[in-house]
Amino acid sequence: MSPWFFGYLGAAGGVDGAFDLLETTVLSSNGEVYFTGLDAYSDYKHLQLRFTGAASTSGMQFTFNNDLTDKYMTSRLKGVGSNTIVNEREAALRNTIRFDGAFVGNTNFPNYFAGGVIDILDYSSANKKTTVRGIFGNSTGSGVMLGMGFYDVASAVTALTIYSSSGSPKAGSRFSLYGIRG
Amino acid sequence: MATPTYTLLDSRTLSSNVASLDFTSISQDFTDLVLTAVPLASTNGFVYLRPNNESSPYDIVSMEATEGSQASYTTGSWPFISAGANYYNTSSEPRAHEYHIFNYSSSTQYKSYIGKAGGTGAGTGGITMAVGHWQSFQAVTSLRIFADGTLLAGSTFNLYGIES
Repeated sequence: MSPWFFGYLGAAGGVDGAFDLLETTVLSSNGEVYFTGLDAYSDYKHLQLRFTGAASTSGMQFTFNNDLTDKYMTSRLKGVGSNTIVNEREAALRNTIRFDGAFVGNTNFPNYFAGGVIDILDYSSANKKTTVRGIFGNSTGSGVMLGMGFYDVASAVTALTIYSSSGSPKAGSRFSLYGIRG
Repeated sequence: MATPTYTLLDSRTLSSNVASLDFTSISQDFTDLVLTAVPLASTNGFVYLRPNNESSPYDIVSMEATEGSQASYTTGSWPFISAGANYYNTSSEPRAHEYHIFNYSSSTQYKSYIGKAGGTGAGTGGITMAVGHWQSFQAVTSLRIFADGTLLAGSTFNLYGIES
């Protein structure tokens, strides 16, 4: 079984420092989440974001390098119950990567936060465009998903900003960024 | 400053068949738990995970693919954590399982989890993944693992803690 399927690349239990916590943010009030200065972590090959998130709606969105122009593509393989599996792809490049269902839209589910794991691969490469993958979802209506994202710019990722599709991630949401050596 | 954080908490390889396996006194010094397992069971059926040996309430939505078919299931009254709602372990083939339990020590949030499993046996192979919640404010201090039938010798279980 490949590490891709399992959603992590860290050598758990292996060499010290192969999978390290870089930064974590727990929101004390609703708001967007910013990780900046990621070029300081050039010792690492990949980034992993582990999170538990909620917002007024379930859509998680994110951008790189504060770039909010239409340079992002997203596809999602989604199981939503009732024997339904769908493959969704954005019709065109958008201004964010869109992982619908990665949060709990918790207006009606106040104690629920959705857990997820997103890998940002080879994030410091300036020679190829950045790809991400994630496994996430919720049992409050969105389903379970494999997501793929693509940033149509060949540059190192130095900043990550996390939004929700409506409003902001809610207080209590937690976002932890890890570095994985390659 | 980076912090090394993926820590092995406990590792078990069964030397004999058992009805269940318990990880107890789980450290509360971490934020997420990860369980990797290759369980063998005497009977084809589910592998069950129960935090604090609580039998309810859990909810789950899963996406499962077996040879020639795929399906998705959801339920709001699942009595355990699993990697699928219609995904069965087999007695004849080791299958790889992995579970993430997020914010496991939180007293203010229900616990969300991700489960994944897969195997390649002819006629029985398949892949599943699931997300769900344990609707509880209890901190996870123990984890019981069992299966339909008994867990067989040779089954392996590794529990990790991830700091945040």
